[in-house]
Amino acid sequence: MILKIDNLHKRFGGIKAIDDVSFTVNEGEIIAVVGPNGAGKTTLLNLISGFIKPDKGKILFKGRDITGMSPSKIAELGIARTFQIPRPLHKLPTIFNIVIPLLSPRVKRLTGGVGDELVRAIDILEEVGFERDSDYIRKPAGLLPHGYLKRIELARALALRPEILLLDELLSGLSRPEVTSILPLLTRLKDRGFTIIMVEHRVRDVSAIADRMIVLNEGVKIMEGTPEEVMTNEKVIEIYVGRRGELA
Amino acid sequence: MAKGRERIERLDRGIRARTRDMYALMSYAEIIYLIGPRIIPPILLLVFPLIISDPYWLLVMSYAAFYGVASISWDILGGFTGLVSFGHALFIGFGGYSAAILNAWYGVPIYLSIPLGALIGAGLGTLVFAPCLRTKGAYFSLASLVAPLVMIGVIYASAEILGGEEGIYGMANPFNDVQWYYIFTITLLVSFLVIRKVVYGKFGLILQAIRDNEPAVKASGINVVKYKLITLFISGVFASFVGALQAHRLAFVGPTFFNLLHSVSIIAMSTLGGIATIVGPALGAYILVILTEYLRILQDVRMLLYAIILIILLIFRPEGLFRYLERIYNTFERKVVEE
Amino acid sequence: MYEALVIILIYGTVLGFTLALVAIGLSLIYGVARIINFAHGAFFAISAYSLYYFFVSIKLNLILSIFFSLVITALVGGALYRIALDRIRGMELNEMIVTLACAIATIEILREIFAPAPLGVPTFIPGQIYIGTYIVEMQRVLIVITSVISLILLWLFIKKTKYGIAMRAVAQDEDAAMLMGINPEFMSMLAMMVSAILAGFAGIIIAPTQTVALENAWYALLNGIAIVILGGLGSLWGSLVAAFIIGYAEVAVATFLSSHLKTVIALIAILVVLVIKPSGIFGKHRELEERV
Ligand SMILES: Nc1ncnc2c1ncn2[C@@H]1O[C@H](COP(=O)(O)OP(=O)(O)OP(=O)(O)O)[C@@H](O)[C@H]1O
Ligand SMILES: [Mg+2]
Repeated sequence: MILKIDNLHKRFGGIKAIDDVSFTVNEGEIIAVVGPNGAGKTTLLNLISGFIKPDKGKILFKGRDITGMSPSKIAELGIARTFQIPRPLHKLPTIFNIVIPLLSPRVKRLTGGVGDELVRAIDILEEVGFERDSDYIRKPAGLLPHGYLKRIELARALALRPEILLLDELLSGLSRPEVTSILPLLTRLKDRGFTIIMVEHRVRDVSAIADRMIVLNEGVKIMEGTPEEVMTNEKVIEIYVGRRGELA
Repeated sequence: MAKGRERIERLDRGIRARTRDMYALMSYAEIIYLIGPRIIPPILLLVFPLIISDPYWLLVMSYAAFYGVASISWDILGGFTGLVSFGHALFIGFGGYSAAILNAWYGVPIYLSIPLGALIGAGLGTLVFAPCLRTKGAYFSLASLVAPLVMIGVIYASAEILGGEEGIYGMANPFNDVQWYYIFTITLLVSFLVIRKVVYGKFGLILQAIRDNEPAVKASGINVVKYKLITLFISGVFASFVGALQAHRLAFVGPTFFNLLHSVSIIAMSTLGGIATIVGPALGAYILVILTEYLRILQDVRMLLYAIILIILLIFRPEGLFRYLERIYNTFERKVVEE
Repeated sequence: MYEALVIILIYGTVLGFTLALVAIGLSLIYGVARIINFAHGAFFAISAYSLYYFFVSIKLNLILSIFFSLVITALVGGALYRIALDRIRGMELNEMIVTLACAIATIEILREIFAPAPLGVPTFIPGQIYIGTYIVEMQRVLIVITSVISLILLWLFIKKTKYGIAMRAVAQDEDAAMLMGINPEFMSMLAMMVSAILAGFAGIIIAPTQTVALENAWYALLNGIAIVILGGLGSLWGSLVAAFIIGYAEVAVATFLSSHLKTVIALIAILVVLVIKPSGIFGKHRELEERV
């Protein structure tokens, strides 16, 4: 067990964004968190990555209480995240977006500070699907198309050499071919030992690679189980009713 | 043998085409083109007292250098990190008072009171602003406007301790006008080199990233508050240093050191010269100081002038003078003979 | 000691109401247009100097003087928005610098028109009343009464009138308001004018109890900033409560220590709030927990 979420609560004014959610994550697993709009998925990731503080509840990473720590501290410990709406460093060239995490204390500690950041940044960009010699690497990141911004998000998280990857709707807004090119990458990452928690809106995309699924609705954890169990569950179908297309 | 046709080409073309990082220069024109703007201004500044020995103009140029350093130091905060200070005078005042107290009260010699004053001043200022660094930038700006105004009140209230309105005087001033001119000017040149080094290295890259998108930098495992604190301190050291110099030069320090006039001048100079360019703010400082000295009538309405300059600049041309000149300079042409 | 407490209570209340008018204006324009208006203190000064001109220099009657002063202040507010801010909306940094520059320009122009020395304005109503054994000038009573009336009028304006409701809609969600056919630009300008009138009115009613001086503009701005941060950016109720906290604290400091140290309260309030609860005492999560 690498991550343990314990009775987490978070309200925004009158809205219970996360309402008593608990679950555990084992090392090397891919966990998919699914749920309709406003279910609280992003809030859950924000809580784990320290961008917002819970009202109540605990988050344990490898047995250590990380609740209330700053985002950079949590990243330093080995939990990296992506943002649902990509947040590139718009004015800086794409490659510098990846150099920044390479300059973080965590990476310096893990690599002993040897090696050229620019070279490593290009390797990471290539891994997430950039062509090694494309202009995109040198262009300001703000000018790149949406699909590439999502890849920058993933590359930034990978650059940190984390133990857990939190991916917030990495696949949404991507075209079919793009999705089919990223899914195998995620399985490869899993094989390399990363633990992945991925939030997705559409169940279908993730059912193929997820080991377990957690369903959120209006802040409440509805159920947890294998993709098959989730996709045949009455309650889940009810939540997604009228959106059957997304479930199937 | 037919002579090739002549055509006009931009001077920087050839250099750019031939080299990426190394300068393989082909002619004197190119050499001058490249290094001219880098060495002529410093040389002019250094020989200035040999050409014009009028103490009045030495004083004016020292003032310009004073504001130049303050504006450059403002630029690493406002331009590169996105922490826009509306009260940079706080550092000038803290630096001035620290040096004054060390020298006038404790007899610390001038060559120690100035650097120590700079460090203490920067430390105090950083301490005041530290609480504003966790929240979004606007809070820093709000607090930075308030802090120097409050300090003026504190000094008035503590007449017995800090000298009140009369300030503190009697600091050592062993230098003449020419020497002070060189002290201020060399401070400016050194500050420029140091700050440029800081800003264009890895550290500066992180600062630019913070200004661009703070959450992304946090998610990259970098402690944003720590970087802001360090930058605030670095910026403060330079501003406090010239504050300390000024305290010795005038052999006086008073609440006027915290005046809004300084803070606003610095913003106006930086904006005029070009925010986030490092050279620009210094350029802006020289232009505004010389302009207001040259047109004597403007002296009394300096504040109004700076305010109007700021309004016009921000509404119509946010690019700044430095970038503008750079663009013009890059279009210098020469005749080349086509083969 | 007892005496000091009564003084703090009386003068603090009067100051609290004046500061409330100033700060609520600042909060209003932030809430509606997300503009941090550094020129807010200038409104305070413009109306006070206008009052001096109409009431003392050309000896117009009081009501007309106040009316014209408020009209001038509102027009300056509207002009500030239309001429300067309209073009740079959304660029927070530029907005802040431009409003600061406008404040300085206004104050320097006032300095050129009027003498730099402080000016005096006679009281609006003479006389005094006794609270127990303490003498309180009628002018201060008038400050409290008119402030209460202005705040009620503001409340009615925001809650009941078409424009007030539209303004609140813009404050809550600019895009949604636009879909409902509300023009956010116009509403922002209107909010700027209302906010200018509030600060201006504070400048007018307090003028007879102190001198009309340029420094007052910065004093008003400084306190406005502290109150708005203490109360939570954009929260009108927060500003109201915070105004009294700052008001009482400042009078206490002026009574026990020195009147020069009054402003220290403002800075301390800002720093303490930012350390303990950055969203302010009444601030909502929204303001600080940026959506990520
Ligand atoms: N910073 C915030 N302030 C106020 N309310 C918020 C904030 N962040 C989220 N919420 C609210 O909390 C609820 C859960 O939002 P969240 O973003 O976690 O949903 P989600 O499952 O990620 O949805 P989506 O599929 O649209 O991304 C929503 O009602 C949202 O409006
Ligand atoms: Mg989401």
